[in-house]
Amino acid sequence: MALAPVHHILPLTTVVRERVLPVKGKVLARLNQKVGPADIVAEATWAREHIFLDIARTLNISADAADKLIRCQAGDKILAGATVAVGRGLLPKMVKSPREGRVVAAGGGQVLIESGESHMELRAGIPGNVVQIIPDRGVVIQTVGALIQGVWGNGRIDTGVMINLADKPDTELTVNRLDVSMRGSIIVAGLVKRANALQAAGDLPVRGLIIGSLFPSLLPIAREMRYPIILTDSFGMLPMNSAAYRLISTNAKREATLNAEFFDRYSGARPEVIIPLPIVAEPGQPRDVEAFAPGQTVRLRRQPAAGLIGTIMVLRPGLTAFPSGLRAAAAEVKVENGEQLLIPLVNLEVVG
Amino acid sequence: MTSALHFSPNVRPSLETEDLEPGARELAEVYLGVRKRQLKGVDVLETWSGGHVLPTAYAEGRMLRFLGRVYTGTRGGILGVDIGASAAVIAAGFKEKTTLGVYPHFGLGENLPALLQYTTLEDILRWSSLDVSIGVLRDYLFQKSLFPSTIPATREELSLSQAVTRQALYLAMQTAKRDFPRSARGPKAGLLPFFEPILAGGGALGDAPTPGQGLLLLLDSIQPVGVSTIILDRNNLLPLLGAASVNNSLLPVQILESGAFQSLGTVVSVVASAGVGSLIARARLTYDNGTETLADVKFGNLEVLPLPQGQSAKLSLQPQHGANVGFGSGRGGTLPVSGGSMGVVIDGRGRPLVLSEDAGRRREFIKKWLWTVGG
Repeated sequence: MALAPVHHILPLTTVVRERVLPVKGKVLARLNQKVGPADIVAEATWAREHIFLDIARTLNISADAADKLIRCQAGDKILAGATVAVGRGLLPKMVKSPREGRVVAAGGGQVLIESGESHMELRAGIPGNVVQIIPDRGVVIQTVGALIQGVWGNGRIDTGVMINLADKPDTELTVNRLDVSMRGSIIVAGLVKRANALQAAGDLPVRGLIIGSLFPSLLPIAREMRYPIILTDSFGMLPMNSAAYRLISTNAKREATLNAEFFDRYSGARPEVIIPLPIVAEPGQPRDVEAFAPGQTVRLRRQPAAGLIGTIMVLRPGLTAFPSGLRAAAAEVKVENGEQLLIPLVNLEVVG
Repeated sequence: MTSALHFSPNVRPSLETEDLEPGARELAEVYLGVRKRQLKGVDVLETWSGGHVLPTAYAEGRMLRFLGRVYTGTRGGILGVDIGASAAVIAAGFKEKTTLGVYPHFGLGENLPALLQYTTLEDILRWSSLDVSIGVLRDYLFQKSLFPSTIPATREELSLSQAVTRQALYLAMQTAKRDFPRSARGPKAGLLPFFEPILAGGGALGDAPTPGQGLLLLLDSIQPVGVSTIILDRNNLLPLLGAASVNNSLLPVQILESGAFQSLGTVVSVVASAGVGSLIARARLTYDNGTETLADVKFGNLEVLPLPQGQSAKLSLQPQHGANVGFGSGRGGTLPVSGGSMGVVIDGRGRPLVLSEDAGRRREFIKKWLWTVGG
């Protein structure tokens, strides 16, 4: 049984997301609190730099002798220029702290000071209810709506009404398609080939951009944009896949949240579009892994048909040889244009 | 504001002594702590293994250090290379020192676009046997970074994939070389020291469609010199054995002798400067049954002498025009060799390997080399 990664493109589902700090910190959200995507749910601070003072070497004495001359201990706060150790003799050498900070360790003839503060704020990322508090780390948030996962995001988060400028899945976003009526909206397009389109969207400004693909050379500019950008498919000139295009088009003019967070293979976090929807009964949660099976809708992740959506017709037994010479487990996939292709299973992901 | 502190003994307790092991062990613990927070289930695995979960690169380094002791007496050292999605790892064991370099920026997965900070698209494409545009390669690098686990299904994608692997491993090797001890010198400035054996692993090498393609990829990127046995760790056993050796020091030895590793064969890499097609060495392979195979090695060519896995033979080498086949400049000799899936391969392309500036001619050479090693 071959396990398949699942790429979520769902018209209605329950979305549950764990949002945690990378280091210990303070959780600000409360249980059952309703949060917006930009709300700060936890925060943390940590030292920006560490300063190592080798007292024994500076005073040219043994570590034991140096320990007796050190005037601070672990936990002490210390000011810039404060004396850390004083040597012996008529004209004793002094060791001073170069910066304000806190002594982390003192011993063995050495002193370690942490200095400066880096501050991190963790945003909710999605609108919803806090259903669990993870002490010192973060929260679990739950919401219900349509979910479209992307493959790349520029790290920003925002909410707005979606405007669909993609007449077709491969419609290019150009400067002349943008006008002032789109200010504060989330723009949907097929692909972006030119930097001025990204900059014009930023100048309006828009609240977000959902596109199928982006020219790789535009990545540095896309990273700098202050609005969230989500790619649904790839880098290059691929159109938006038909499943995402259909779902986004049918939900145009609805409010959506773009959490364009970076893909993290360890936590499984992906950039995603969430369109909150009213419900009568709570739908189930989607699975992140399934077993490949005939009849499943899949997306092709590599050439010769990257980005196409298809249906698994047959799972081939054993290993199949490909034109590259590699042998791998494979499936026959009928793609949207009716063609049936032989694709390695590792190049497929289930859509659902 | 809090800092977690980890202490380890001094890495240089005296000017003459360097001991990185306790520091490396402590860093491995910190690394595991980070991964435990990120990956659910690592703590369960740790319980199952009695607390002996180790980072892959660290475990591989342990194994190479162990093998370095086993192979003491060789002129150079032993080399372990591993290139996969997350990083390129180069471990080298010498008598006096083991070096371990982990290079995530040369990994073939999500970090792939970062490779362009260290090389150019043109330099990657010079390894391709097919005429592919710069734009296609750029798109390939960025698309592959999104889906690291995918494999090339078409010939064009395989050519790109192997070109990228060659350049990434070549750069990792050039970086790792700087840490080798001064005493481990090659036959010429800028070349690698002698390595025997060379162990290779990682998805990009183990999954090559044919053993010949895997071997050629290694020769192009590592560019060894002299005589080396090339062993392929297709099942990624080296780090597992490095981790298992904590509990059972006999297990690695038993596995090593079990045939679980695939020998690609013995490679003789000739250091020579000559015109393409000039004779640089004569080789005679004498099998155990007394039969012989002869080869004239010409500059710019590869020669493959069949010697199946499990068989041994005697290889006599007679260099021409001052070439160095591993016995010193212009010196010949005879040595016992063992077989492998590629037999005995004599690489007469010179060191360092210089590819033609003419793109068409270069691609013809690459195709010819590929054909020589079985396509």
